[in-house]
Amino acid sequence: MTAPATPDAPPPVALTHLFRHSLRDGRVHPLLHIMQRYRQEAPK
Amino acid sequence: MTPACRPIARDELLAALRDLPPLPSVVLELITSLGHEELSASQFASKISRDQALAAKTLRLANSSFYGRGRQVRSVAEAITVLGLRTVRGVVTAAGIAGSFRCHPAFDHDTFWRHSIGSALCAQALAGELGRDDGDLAFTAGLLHDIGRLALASAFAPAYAEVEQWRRDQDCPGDVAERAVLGIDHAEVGGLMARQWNFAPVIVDAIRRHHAPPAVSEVTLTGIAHVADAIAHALGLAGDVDEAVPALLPPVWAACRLDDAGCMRVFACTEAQFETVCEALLH
Repeated sequence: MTAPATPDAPPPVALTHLFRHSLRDGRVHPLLHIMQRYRQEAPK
Repeated sequence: MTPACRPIARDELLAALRDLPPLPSVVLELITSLGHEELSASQFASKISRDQALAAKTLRLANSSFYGRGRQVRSVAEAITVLGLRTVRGVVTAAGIAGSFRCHPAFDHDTFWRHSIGSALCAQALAGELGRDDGDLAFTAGLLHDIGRLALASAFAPAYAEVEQWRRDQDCPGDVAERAVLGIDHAEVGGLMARQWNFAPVIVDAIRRHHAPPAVSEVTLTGIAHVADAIAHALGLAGDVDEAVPALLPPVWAACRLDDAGCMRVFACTEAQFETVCEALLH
């Protein structure tokens, strides 16, 4: 995923940090990919 | 690693909850009136106006850049016209509860309320997206889902500081840390408090079971609180460096039947109002 262009949008690392519990358990959280798309598509 | 605290005995817990400060009467009245529309806007305005702090916060929100309509709002009755009765009821509930608990330096109240407000706005947006007409109930369920944390941190401050330390050290969910250190978690405590305050049974259930809602094919208010909690964390609204998204039960998520566009609307609607509501309520 590409880095957001605006300073107020969290960088990708923040999402992987927020979802670290499920990622650590080897699960893909149902919200992870939607949230990644949302952060990419958020109004600039 | 073993926690240093002993589990809280049931009797000790119930006694401590009984000793917590009562909620302002106007807040109790507003919460118990949820789902009943017998009270008119002018009756609500009259009740809220009796409490200066609550009235001031309502006016501040009505005059904010997000909700403001370009003219100065000077009365609670006018604020209800600008914001709508449902929003005012949610705002007053949040402000009344936030002002009722003692602050302890070891507990981050700002982070707590930012997550609670984010969950409330998300639950309300989710209810709207699902075509439900109980957005105000959803707002309140989202707002109060973690109220047990506030009660534990207020009634058992030193022990709760250890819970927070355990959560950081183990990097585990808060309810897991609470059960490890105290032998009980905030959902169970919140449910006890909600019953003590005579909240509507659907609110009690949403608070008590927001981490473990029933896996039914229809979306319940408890399911909305569960999903909103996860989304608010996924949006990182609390501003906590240790924030983590809790598990989302697949049957509950599937029951929402939200497509990508619906999710985006819920996320955007939550974020659009979030800072304005926090500014009005927390500062």
